[in-house]
Amino acid sequence: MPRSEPLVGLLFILPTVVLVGVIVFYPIVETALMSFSTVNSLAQREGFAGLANYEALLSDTVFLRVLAQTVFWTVAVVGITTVVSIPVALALNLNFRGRRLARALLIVPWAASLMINAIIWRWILDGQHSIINGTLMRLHLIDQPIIWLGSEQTAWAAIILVGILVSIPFTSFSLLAGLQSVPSELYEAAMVDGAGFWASFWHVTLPLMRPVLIVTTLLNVIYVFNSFPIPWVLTQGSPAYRTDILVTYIYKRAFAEGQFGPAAAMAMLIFVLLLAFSLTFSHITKERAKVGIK
Amino acid sequence: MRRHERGLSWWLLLAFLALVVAVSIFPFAFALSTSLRPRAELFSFPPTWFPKTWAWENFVTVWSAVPLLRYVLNSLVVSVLATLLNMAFAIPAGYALARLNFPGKRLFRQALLVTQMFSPVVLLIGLFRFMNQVHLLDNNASLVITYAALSLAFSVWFLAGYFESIPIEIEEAAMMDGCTRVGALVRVVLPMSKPALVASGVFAFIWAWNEFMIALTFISTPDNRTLPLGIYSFLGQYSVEWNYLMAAALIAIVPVLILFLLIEKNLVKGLTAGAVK
Amino acid sequence: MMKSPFARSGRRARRALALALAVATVASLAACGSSNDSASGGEVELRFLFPEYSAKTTPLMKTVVDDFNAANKGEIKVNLETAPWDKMHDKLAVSMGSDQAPDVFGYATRWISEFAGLKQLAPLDDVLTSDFREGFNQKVLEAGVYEGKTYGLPVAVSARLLFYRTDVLEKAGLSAPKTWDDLMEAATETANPPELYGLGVPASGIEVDTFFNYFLYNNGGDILDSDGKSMLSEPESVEALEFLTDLVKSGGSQPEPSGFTREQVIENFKAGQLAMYPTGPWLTAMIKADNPSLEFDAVPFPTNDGKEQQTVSVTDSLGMSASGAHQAEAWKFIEFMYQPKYRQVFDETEGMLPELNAVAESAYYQTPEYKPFIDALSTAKFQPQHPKFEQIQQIETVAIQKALSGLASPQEALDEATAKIDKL
Repeated sequence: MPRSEPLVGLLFILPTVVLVGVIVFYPIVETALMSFSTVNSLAQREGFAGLANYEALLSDTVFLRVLAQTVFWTVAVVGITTVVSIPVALALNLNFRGRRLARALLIVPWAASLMINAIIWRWILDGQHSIINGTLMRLHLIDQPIIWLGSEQTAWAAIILVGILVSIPFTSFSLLAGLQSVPSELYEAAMVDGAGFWASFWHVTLPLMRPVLIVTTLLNVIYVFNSFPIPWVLTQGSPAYRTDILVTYIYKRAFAEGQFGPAAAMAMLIFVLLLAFSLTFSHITKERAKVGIK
Repeated sequence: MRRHERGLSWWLLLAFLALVVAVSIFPFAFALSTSLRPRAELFSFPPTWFPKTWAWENFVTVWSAVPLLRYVLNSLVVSVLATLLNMAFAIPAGYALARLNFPGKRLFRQALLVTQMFSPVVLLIGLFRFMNQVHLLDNNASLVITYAALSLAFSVWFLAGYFESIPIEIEEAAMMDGCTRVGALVRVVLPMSKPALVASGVFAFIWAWNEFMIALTFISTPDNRTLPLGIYSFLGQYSVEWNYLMAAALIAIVPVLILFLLIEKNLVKGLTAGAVK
Repeated sequence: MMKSPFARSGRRARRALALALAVATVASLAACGSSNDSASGGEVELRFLFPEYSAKTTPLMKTVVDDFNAANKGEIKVNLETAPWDKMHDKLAVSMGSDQAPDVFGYATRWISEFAGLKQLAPLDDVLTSDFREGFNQKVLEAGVYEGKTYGLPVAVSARLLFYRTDVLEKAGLSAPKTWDDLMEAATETANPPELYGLGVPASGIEVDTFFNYFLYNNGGDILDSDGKSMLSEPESVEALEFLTDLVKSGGSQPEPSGFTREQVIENFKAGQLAMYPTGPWLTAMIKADNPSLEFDAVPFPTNDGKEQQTVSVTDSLGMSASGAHQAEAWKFIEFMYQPKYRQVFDETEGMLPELNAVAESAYYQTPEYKPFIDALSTAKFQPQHPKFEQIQQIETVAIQKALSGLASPQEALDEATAKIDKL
């Protein structure tokens, strides 16, 4: 039951408001202004452009394709990560020898940056020197190397796999935390009642994990949607934008092509999409959220 | 209760965990193997799991190939200061969200979420211009401030969630004893929130430790580089020095890993109350 | 738990104090301000931003800067800044756009039209003495001229030749390819996958367009005409891309070129896994260092059907900011940097061609390995100047990727590129 102390409250959030306001909202305003301006290749605003940058997006077939790819990437990574992380969290919650080791190893991809994860995978998936090919060839499963990052399909499979692997630690640890807040009496009651493992999972564990599932899914969607290093380091969108996602495409448009206006319009559109998603998501799940949306 | 679990499902879960752990750790195992190869052996075909010659000296050479120690120190200073700044701001804000009513509370929550919806890539231009105006370009203080700000949203929610889980009666007792609001926060709430403070601090630290794009944009003088920038310099124009790159990357992971392991228990506890509610 | 917090309050307070101190430290760091303010007395401070070609670049340039600073103590102090080469355009564009351009900087010569058009580059003609001018390879110096003015002095010069494995071609009974028919034959005949592929074809990452230029130029084609309109739909261009696509389809290269970057293909040639690959002199230096037993040679890129031979050549430039407050001092530094001893070390270490005649005449560059590259500069064709060339490169790259991965026919892909370029 929060107490009404408006002055103290405002004072307490003041530092955060100032810092975030300056560091985050100032650039957001700059981006928003650019999206309505003609902008030169040095990112200087030169004049008002109305909605021209936004209109240009709608006729940009590459943008529409990349948008679809981004949705696909986000759904695939977040979906599979969640499905994989639930049993991982359940297993981490068991009492077994080596649990500490398992937890420590699982943390490793989290401790390394996205960029380092991506760079290591680029080396592992190297056209000629991929250790995966080396192993498959030694086992006589293939006789020619598979150029993992060469075709659209295998490149997507690789990018998504890496996306999942770097998302698993945060997701499974959050779910583990959720599990540990499930009172064990409930578990035991289910067991004693003769409910098997799966039954108790469906009827007891999963419903109790719902709130934490919702929060981690929402956060994962936002982070994965905007995840730059993995597709960038692995393929740079090759071939022909087929493995780009919106952030990498924005980066190309803005920095490689000097098209800061349309790039800013895309950034604003991403923001609107994510906001709409967050609102709908929290509405559907009716969770009054930690994460800000009520 | 544990005894009940050792059925088929128990073993299946553990097998699945083992699989996921193996796949997660595999790239790092291979990175280690790569980091221990002499350069000539990197591109032998077909590729092998283990080096024929173990080039242990790579881990020595890498410190002199680039000023790695300098980069490590820069990263440490930036990350520690960013974490402290982040905590100093997140604690009162999180507490306000958990315990106090004030006008604009809902707006504040939502604005925090909004900050997470822009990729740093999108903010680069504006961030650069701001740092230029306050004369902080090429100064690591610009990184401290930016990192603290960008990881703040997460810390605030996280701490707010934890603070809410602390029984309010304890604070009320303290305040009746003559403590002020701030006194109650510092003397009662914070000591009880150690797991959450540790967990959110670790998040802020890792965020700062690993950030690349902003550092690349702000920092120009080689001596001011953070570790991710230093590692990137092994990705040359015409060739990548994979063995040194991997050695430097593994060196960069070690401090974070140690930190993680030290606080693993707190991490889960912190997440427990912070994320779920 | 309920009592202890009060008992330990002293320690808590100290921790809070530590926190406050940390915040104060950040604030004091912030107060240091930018390095430009701290110049003492009459000392002029200059910012010098240079791209990193490899991990060796920064220490190399640091030596030059330290020497200059020692020689000009109390008068000029140059601060070295570096950035990875592939991030240089970002870095320069963002700094220039915020009026924070470094005084002296390195950049790709093809950016001159963009930066000069935006009034960011200082023309150098007034300060270039004829003595200094004559020290350069004139053809290479010419690359930095835009609309009659010299904006950049050459650094990191390369001429691209076709590297090939002499032992492999000999074994197949072939000599160095001179025509495209020879090239096709050599690429398909020598291929013995997965150990050995014919011609290295990188279609991902940087310089995909440059790679296509080997074929385009040596078929009499070009990217842009004199009005800046696309020539990519001309028959010569389409024929060039069709040839390259056919070569890939006939097994004359590694499969799926979209999965290979330039750096990967270079490594493959160096490791002996490719019979041929066209690139610059750095590969010679790399082979000597990493795989000295490899038998190879480098020859001018084959031409199609008696067309004129053209050597793809790329240079970077060193220039001054148009808005720099200390241009005289900046120029003094540039002149200092162009002493043959500094350029010699740089060119050798980074595997570049000499921009200075004095370096070109040195023993190192007169060896059979390097002389062909220097000779090839006489038929050098540099990248065109167009204010939106970065965008054109992107469009060209996409067209090549589409054709090579079968997403479009060469004609369709290049027509699409032409439509886009002509709309810029």
